[in-house]
Amino acid sequence: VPDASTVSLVVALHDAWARSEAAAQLAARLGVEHVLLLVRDPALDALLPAPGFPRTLRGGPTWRAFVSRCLAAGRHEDEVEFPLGTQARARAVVSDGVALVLIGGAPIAAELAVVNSLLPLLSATLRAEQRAELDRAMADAARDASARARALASALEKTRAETANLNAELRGEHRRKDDFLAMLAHELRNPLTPLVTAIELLRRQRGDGAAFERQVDIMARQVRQLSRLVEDLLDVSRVSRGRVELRRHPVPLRDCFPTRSRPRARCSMRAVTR
Amino acid sequence: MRVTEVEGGRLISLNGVPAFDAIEDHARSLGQTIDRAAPLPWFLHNILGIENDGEYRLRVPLAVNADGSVQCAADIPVGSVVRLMKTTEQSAVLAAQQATRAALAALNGQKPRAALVFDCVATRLRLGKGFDNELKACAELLSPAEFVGCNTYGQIARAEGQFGGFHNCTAVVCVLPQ
Repeated sequence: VPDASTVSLVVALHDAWARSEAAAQLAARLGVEHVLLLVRDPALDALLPAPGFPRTLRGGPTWRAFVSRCLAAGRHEDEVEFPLGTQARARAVVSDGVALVLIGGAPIAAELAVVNSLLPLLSATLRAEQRAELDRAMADAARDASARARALASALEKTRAETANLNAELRGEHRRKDDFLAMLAHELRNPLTPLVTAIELLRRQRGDGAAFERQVDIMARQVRQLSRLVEDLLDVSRVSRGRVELRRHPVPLRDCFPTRSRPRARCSMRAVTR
Repeated sequence: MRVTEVEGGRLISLNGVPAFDAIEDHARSLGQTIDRAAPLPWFLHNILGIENDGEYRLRVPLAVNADGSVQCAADIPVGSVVRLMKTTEQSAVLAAQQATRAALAALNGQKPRAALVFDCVATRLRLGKGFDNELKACAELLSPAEFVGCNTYGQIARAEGQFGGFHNCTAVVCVLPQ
């Protein structure tokens, strides 16, 4: 009849969370220093610590060579350096891809027989756990890739939205520029009609000194107006190219409103306040 | 080898044993020895490749810590499978040519105006003067476009189908169209 305490400790080994503690208690019960469980990696020809044990087992080259030999089913026994700096006798029973390794001491045969009888069931649990652990690692990697993909998609969407806004702004600017140019063309055309008329009258009224002077005045005024418009156009061009610097300073209002150029000043104020 | 424990860029164990012990056992099986105090010359010729959907993402081991862990340039995921990988100068040149061709193909028929070419400092140290052949191969494919670049401690490039793009020992080429 198996010893109930030994059985309960082997049962506890089925629980990954309690495994390390159960292995320490089982080692004491069997009369050895350490009990370890190693599980064969299905994808690689290697034995890995079962879940619940430290992920890194520190031993010397003889320990690593012993673990390599444990890939073969059956019983193995040798002197090994485990933990690091300690020589001890290692004994292993390997079945169904799981190695039960006892280190140090001299195991009590009757107790060990109980553990060995329960090993196939424990092996099935450990193999399933290891598959789940590897699947979890793959799922974590996939989740990480998915998170990166989402971040990338989000960044692309943000860039797309910013680009769309910028395009809308550019379209607005372009439309305003077109409107301005259309208005300017209209304004540039206005002085031309009186100029053409005045020239025609001059041609017909040669000899009339007063009329000549009047028409010359008209032409001179309209030419000045055209010049100002062209200057404005040049200002717009400078602003577009960023070559105009606005300098703020007080300006006496009377300087802005000389009697003869009042209409022009009003026009400028409108342009400034738009 | 299975990555069993990691802390940031510190690779603690492979197959359940300290990472350097696992790597040293591998070197010994090939009749080689690694100088634990100065392992870089061996590491430059034996790069860790992380398996990823049939492809490999490379990581250069940089140093060995007192606890037997190995310092890498970037994280390696726990549970992943890594292999120690070697290459030849010819393969490095072919890889750079492949990267250049892929970048040129992405121009969709436009002609290249200039290019940026980066590769790992480890590649240059490993190839020595042979690195010139890699640059020559890129220049021939990009001609008449000129290129500039440098050796880096890691390369960031999202190739098609990748969402994360940190690499080591990988030629990265960016071509700008005319």
